[in-house]
Amino acid sequence: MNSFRLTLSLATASLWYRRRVLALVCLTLTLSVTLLLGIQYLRTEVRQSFTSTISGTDLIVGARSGQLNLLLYTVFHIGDATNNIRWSSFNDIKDDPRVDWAVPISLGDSYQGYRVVSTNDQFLEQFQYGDDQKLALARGQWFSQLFDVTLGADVARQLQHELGDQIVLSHGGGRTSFSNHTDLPFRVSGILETTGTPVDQAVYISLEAMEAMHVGWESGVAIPGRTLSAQTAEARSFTPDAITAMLLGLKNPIMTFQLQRELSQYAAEPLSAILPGVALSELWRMMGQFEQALLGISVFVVATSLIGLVAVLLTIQAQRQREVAILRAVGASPRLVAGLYSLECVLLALASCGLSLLLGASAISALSPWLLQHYGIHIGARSLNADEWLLLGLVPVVAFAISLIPAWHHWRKSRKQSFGSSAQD
Amino acid sequence: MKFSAPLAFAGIFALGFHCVPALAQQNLQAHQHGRAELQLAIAGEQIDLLLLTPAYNLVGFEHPPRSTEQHQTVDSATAWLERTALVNTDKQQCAPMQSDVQTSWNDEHTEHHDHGHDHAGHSDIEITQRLHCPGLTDATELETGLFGRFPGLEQLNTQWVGPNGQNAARLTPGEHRFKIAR
Repeated sequence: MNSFRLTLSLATASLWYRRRVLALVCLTLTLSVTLLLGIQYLRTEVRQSFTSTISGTDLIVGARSGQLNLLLYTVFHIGDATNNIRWSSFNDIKDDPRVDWAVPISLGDSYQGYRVVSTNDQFLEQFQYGDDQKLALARGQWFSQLFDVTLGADVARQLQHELGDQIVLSHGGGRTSFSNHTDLPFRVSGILETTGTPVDQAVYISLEAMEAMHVGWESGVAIPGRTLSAQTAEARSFTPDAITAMLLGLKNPIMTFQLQRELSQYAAEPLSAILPGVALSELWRMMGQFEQALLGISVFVVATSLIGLVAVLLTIQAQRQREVAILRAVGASPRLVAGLYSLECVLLALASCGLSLLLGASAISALSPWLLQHYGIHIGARSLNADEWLLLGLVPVVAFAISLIPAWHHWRKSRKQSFGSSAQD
Repeated sequence: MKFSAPLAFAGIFALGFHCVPALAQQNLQAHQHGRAELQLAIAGEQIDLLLLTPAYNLVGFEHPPRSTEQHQTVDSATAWLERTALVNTDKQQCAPMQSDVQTSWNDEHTEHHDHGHDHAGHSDIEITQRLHCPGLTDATELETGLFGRFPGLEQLNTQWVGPNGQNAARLTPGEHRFKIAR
C-alpha cells in the first residue's frame, strides 16, 4: 500500500514535470473520448426522439400499402399515399365497439413546402408523442372557423408568422406550386408548442376547409366561376368523401392484433392497418446500420489516439533514462519503475475521461436549444446509462493494457542496469 | 361493422386471436420458408399469442401427411406445440391454458369434405395460445424454444403489444430472447 502511494506521488510528479507534451496527448485523447461518448449518447437520444414520434396510437389505418410507406406519409410527412379511404369506412371503423377514438387525416396540399394536414379537433386531443405527452398550443387556439389554420412550431418560426396572419395554401405538394388557393386565404388561429417531432413541420386545417378549398378544382386547376367565395363557403356544410388515413386508439390495446387482422380483411375496400410502434422499430432497424458504422469509426478514433499516447510515452522514455537511473540508485525496484509507467498512462486516461465528461455535458447543454430550434431534435442532458459507463470505463482499462508495452520495455531495461541489489530481482 | 370474418369464432378466445379459417379464404398471406410471424398480446400475467408459419418450417413438408412417418412427424409436432408455451420467461413461469393448432390442409378437408384433389400449393400452420405466467409483470425478457425444437425455422418476426406499448424484434436461432420492458 505504501509503495503504491509512493508510485502514485512519483507518477503525478513525473506527469506534472512533462505537462506540456502530455497536455497535448491528453487533449487528443479527451477529444476522441468525447467523440466516442458523444456518438453513443446521441444515438441513444436520437433513437429515443425517433421512437417517441408517436405514442398512444394503437393502429394507423390507410389504403392497402406497406407498413413503412403508411408510417412515413402519415407520421413523418414523407412520400405519398397510394389511395384514399372512404369517409363511410372511417365512420364505420370509428363506431366499432373496440375503438376508443379515431382521428381522420387528409393530406395533399402544402404551404411553402410544409404539408397541410386536414383533420379535426380530435387530433389535438388524442395525438400523443414522447412519454404520452399531448399536443399543446403555444399561442392562440386550435382551428374553429372554416378558414382557420393552426401552425406547427417550426412553420411559425421559419416563416415568422403570428396569430391573425393571412396565408394562402398551395394546391398539391412542393415549395414552388403554381396553383395557389388565392381566393380562399386562411387566418392563423393558433401556433402549436414545439414537440421535436414532424408535428412541428406541418399546418393544420379542418376537413371541411379542405373540401371547401377544392370545390371547382375538379380538373386540377381553379375554374373561374365554379370556386366558392369565403362567404358562400361558410354558409355551406361540407362532408369529405374520402380521407388519406386514420389514427386509432383502442379501449383495450390487447385487441390491437385482432382489429388489425380484421381491418386487413375489411370487405368494403382494401385497407392496411399498422402498429406504429412495430413500424417504427422496423424503420429503426434499417437506419440502425448507419449509427453502428458511426460508432465503429469513433472506436477507431479512440484507438488511434491511444496508440498516439503509447508513441509519446515511448519517445519520452528515451529522455527518462537519467531519471530512471536515479530512481534505481535510490532503491526503486524495476517493478516500481514499470508500475510508474502504467500508472501514468492510466492517470492520463482517467483525466481525459473526466475532461471529456465535462466537455460533453457542456456541449450538450449549449447545443440542445440550437438543435431543437433548427432541426427539431430534442436532446436533453441525462446521466449516462450502463453502456456509456462501460465504454468510458474501457478507456482507462485499454490505456493500462497498452501501457504495458513501454512498462515491460522499461522493466527489462532497468533489470539490466545493475546497481548491486537489483541482481536478486 | 361489415367485417367479413365470421364473428362466431369470436367465442374461441375472448381477447386474443380468432377468425383463423377466414384467413385462408381471403387475402393470401406471405409465405416464405424459414420465416414465421409471432404476435403477442401481453396483459398482466397473461399472454395471448399467435404463430403463423409455413408448414415446412415445422414438419419439413407442405402436403397433407401421407406416410406413417409423416403422420408421426405431424403428430409429435402438434403435441409439442399444444403442450409447450411458445414464449417463456427466463424462469420458465409460463404454461399454456389454451392451445390450438390449425393446419391449412385440415381446413381444406373439413370445409370442402375432400373432393379428392390434392392440395398442391403451400400450407401454413397457425397456432394460437393463451399463456398464464405468474411473475410476468417483473420479467424484462422473454425467450422462445421454437428454434431448438424446429431447426427448419430460421427467422421469427415477433411483434408485441404490452403495458410498455408496441414493439417488434427479429429473432434468430442465435438470438432467441427479446426485451419486453423498456
